[in-house]
Parts: sequence; structure tokens; C-alpha cells
Amino acid sequence: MTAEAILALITAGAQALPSLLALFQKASSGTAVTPAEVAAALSGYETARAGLVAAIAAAETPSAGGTA
Amino acid sequence: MFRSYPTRPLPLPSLRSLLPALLGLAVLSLSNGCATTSSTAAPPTALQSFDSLYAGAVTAESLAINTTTAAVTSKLISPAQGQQILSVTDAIQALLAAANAAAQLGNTATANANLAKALGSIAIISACLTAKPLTVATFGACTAKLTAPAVQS
Repeated sequence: MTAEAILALITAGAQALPSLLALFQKASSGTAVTPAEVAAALSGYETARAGLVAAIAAAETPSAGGTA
Repeated sequence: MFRSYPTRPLPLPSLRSLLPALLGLAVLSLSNGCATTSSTAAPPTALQSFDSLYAGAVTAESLAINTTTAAVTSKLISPAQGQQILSVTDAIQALLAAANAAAQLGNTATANANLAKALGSIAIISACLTAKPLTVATFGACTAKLTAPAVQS
């Protein structure tokens, strides 16, 4: 695994991990989440899904930068 | 025709059992990039509402999807494998929606069952994505038995 790939994976994890931990801590402490937090989680899911769809499409598309 | 359901909160003990799964997902994610980082979260002691678990599960799923995106972009896994994860996570999202709907109606058993199935599938995906080394072959072997979970009604 290249350093670039490791960095990409770490970055992907770091984006969602803080909110995941915050929600877990709330669940642990018995603090109710707000509707806005639930909406934010769903919005994050939609964004993540769109990102994966785009990544798959890009990976399936032959590179336009090839030699002629 | 329209049936009214009790709106009381879900019993704590039944949902509390799902908290370790969420913590496990968080720890798995941490181990992905920071092997020496230790989680400072205390063991779960109480749970007040279903919403926190639901939001946490949706966020954990988003984390798995983001990691899948990075793996596809980095060519660590194939586009077809990314598509497989997309299909499974779509099914997981349906499970979570069903769990949330059941919880709002006070149907604890259905809410719990669907949430547990969703968390189980998210955990498998997370584990496969954090396998070392992560390659098309190792990911394929890890996800060979991964299927889209079905909603329990």
C-alpha cells in the first residue's frame, strides 16, 4: 500500500470519525440527540454515497490522458 | 384502520447491547490509520434514546462508504467491489430506515432486529476495509460471503 493510499484512507476515516464518536458518547451518557444531528447524519450519508458513486464512475472510465 | 402505537421510549437494556457494536466500529476506524491511538471513550453505561444509536449507525455507515470511496480511488479495490459495497450499504440504509420507523411506532423488537443486522453488516465492511494488506484479492476474499441484508418486518 502506497503512502498516498494510506493517506487517502486516513482522510476518509477522519472526516466522519469525530461525529461518530460524539454520537457514541451521547448514547453512552444518555444525552438525547437533536433532530438536527439526525438530519446531519443522514445528510452525511447522502454525501458519502454520492462520493462513492462518483468514484466508481471515475474508476470505470478509461483514462483520457493516455498517449495517442 | 389506523392503529395507534405507544410512543414510550425503547427499553434501555435491549438497545444497550448494540452500543459495543458502535464502539467497535469506531475502534476499527481508528485502527485503520492510527494503530497506536487508544480510544478514550468509557464503556457504555446508559442509553436514553433510539435516536442516538440510529444517528450513530448512519454515521458509521457513512464512514464505511467514505473509506470505500478512498479505496476505490486509490485502486486498492476494484470498481466492481465498490459497486458491491454500494449495493450492500443501500440495503443497510433501508434496514436503518425500517429500524427508525419501527422505533417511532414503539415496535422495539423490529427496531432492534433491523438495527442489529445493519450494524453487523457495517462491521463486516469495516473489518474488510481495514484488513492488511488491503488488495483486490484480500478484499474479495473478505467480502465473498457479504450479502445485502434484508429488512425484517
